[in-house]
Amino acid sequence: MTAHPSEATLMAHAAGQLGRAHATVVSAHAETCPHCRERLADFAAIGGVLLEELPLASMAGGFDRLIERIDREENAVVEAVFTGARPRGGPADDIRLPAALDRLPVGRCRWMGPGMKYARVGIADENGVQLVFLSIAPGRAMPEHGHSGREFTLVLQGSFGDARGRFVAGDFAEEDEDTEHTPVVAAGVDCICLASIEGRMRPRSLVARLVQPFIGL
Amino acid sequence: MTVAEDRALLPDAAALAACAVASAVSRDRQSFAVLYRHFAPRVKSYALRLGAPIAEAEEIAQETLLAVWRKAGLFDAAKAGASTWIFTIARNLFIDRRRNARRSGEVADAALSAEPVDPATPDTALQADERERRVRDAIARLSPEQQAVIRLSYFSETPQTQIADTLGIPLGTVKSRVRLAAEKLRQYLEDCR
Repeated sequence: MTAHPSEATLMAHAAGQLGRAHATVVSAHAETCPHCRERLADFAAIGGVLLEELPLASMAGGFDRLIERIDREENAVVEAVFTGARPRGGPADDIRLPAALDRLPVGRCRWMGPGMKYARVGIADENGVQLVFLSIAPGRAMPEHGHSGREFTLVLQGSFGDARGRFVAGDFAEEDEDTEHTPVVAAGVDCICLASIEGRMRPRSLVARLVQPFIGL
Repeated sequence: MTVAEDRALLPDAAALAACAVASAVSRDRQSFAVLYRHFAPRVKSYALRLGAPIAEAEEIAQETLLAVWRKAGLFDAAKAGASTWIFTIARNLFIDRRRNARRSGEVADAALSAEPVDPATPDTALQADERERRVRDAIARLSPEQQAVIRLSYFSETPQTQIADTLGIPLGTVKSRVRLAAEKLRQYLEDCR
């Protein structure tokens, strides 16, 4: 008795040549069969090796078109976040939000100054620390401010710089009561950050201090 | 540029994997450009062989590389080589398009556009470069005819008919040829362990 799919069947499956129904049965078997998963991995690698051998078809101008599309889509994503519409209908990596934010609601986008917006992430923090998205337009400077508690900032898009240097996507900036800074966003794209803010930001300028209570950060 | 000339300039598997990682980690567009130049023309070739018209084949190549950019964070260089990973993305995209085309008129069902076949990520410790080396060796040991059978099994719209035509054999005997080629391949893969 043969308790596994034949080699030819596994190969056809890895090659994407089985129909839906057959493919589903093979997949279901492989879920509980490490032996077949391993053989399927071999057949997938064969696909990769054979792909390498294929002749090159012309893709003239394709790269620039794709980059334009990526730019358009990544901007649209940011808008989706900042209108408070929780982007749905695609895997999390489509919208490039960290998986850690999965299933957390995002509130309405609010104005917090010229070229600056924020949206709250609905998270019940045990210490009342707020979690927000910040979006700051290219070339804009945040008012110089200090902090009344710790503030962690993760850059998701664009970059900002302060006295310490430049923070780009993926960079983590840590502030506390002792730090004051004036982040300036680089030209090009909006700088989008995810920030956890303990206490309140303490703006140094009078105007900023006056409007701050209405902003709520 | 001929394929041979291009091969001389080819980034090797390790360099391509490094590019995929750089695309993910630092959203590095230059690394992504290397991946694009290397893979987009090959994916288009692949789609053409599966019977896609030129415009659609180009779109599949674009979609595949777009997915590479978006999913670069999921790329695990230890588990699969860049070419294996990109092959599976292209394959799944193609399958999805075919299935959706057949279902046109019905309401799109998100569950049905999920990964149609298993991801190429086994749970063994076998390293990707090791696996690809074995696979190359095993393919090289097949007879030219068996190699043709394997290639056509992956890269044609109707493998059975194409294999019959290419080998000049009756359709009824194709199945056993495919079975034999796949079993030989398995045997050589096990030998190379």
